This record gives sequence, C-alpha cells and structure tokens, in this order.
Amino acid sequence: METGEPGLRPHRRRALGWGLGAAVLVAAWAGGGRLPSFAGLTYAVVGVVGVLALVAALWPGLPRLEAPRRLSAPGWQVWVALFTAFGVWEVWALLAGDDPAQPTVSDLLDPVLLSPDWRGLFWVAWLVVGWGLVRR
Amino acid sequence: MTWEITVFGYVAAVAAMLVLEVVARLPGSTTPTAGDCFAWVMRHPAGRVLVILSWWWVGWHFLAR
Repeated sequence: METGEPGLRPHRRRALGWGLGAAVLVAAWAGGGRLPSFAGLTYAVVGVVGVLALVAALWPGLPRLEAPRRLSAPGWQVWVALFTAFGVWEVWALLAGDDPAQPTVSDLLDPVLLSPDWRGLFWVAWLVVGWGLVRR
Repeated sequence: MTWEITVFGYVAAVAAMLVLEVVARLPGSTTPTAGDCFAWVMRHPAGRVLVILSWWWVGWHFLAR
C-alpha cells in the first residue's frame, strides 16, 4: 500500500533484506555446523547453494557493485603474488603426500571443522564471501 | 622442512593478505582491495564463472566432504 512517503519502501526493503540475511546466517551457523560430512543431505545443500550462486552471478539485470575499469599497479601484482605463493605452498605440501611435517590446509582445518561451532562459523564465512562475490 | 615452517608459510601468506587489504582500504590508497581484483576478473563471464566455481569448491571441499 502506498503511504505517500518516498523512500519508505526502499528502506523497508533494505531492512527486510538485512533481516533475511541475518536469519540465513544464523540458520547456517546453527544448522550447517551440524550437517555431517560425506552425507547426501550435505552434498545436496552445498550443491543447491552453489547452483543458486552461479545463477545469481550470471542472471542479467540484477543490481551489481561497480567493477573498477582498471587496477592500479603494483597493487594487483602483489595480490597475485600472494595468492600464487599460498597456492604453491599448498601444492608443495600436497606433493609431499602423508608427510606430517608438511600438512596441507585441509590437514590443518579438518580437525578444527569437526567442532559444530567452528563448522558453523565456516558456513557463515563461506556464505558471506559468496554473497560478496555474487554482488560483484 | 618442519611442521612449524609449513604452518608459518600459510600464516605469513594470509597475514600479508590481511595487511594488504587494510592498506587498500586506507583513505587515498590506490591499492585495489581483494574485492576490486575479483570484481575486475568477474567483468568477463568466464572469469565470473571461474570465481564462483572456485568459491563453491572451497565449500564443497571443507563442508561437504
């Protein structure tokens, strides 16, 4: 119903969006943290989230944050160097096989993610990052 | 190679990324944020799919398996 106050509807829509987002994150922390590994339900949930994110990322007409026309040097090269260094370090550990002196990120995180609380936080972080990417 | 050195490598890389992100967000900084870099890659549809699939794989790897 129109109230005659311009700006009220976007304000309410924004509040609804924040409320919905908060509800999803609370559900992700509480529920996602308790989803077991290697289970059909977990595969389905992660798969559906991925499909939704991919569709939202490619859907034409959705509002996006403005992308920079060009990236200033040497800033982006430093980002590339850091991601590459992390990746090389990980692959090196992976190639070492089961050597306990060279753990992969998975070796380090898997015991942590056995805890439902930490697993729930990882769910929240994953969804927040995904939302940030989809909006780009 | 020891466990400590390997873990230090991961921590150092992540810490450097955090520092770079903070530097990028300082007023007047010309350094792009990580989000700017991803947004730049995502200007192309192929980059868009690649970034989203990479993000999704992290969730699959750590949460589903």
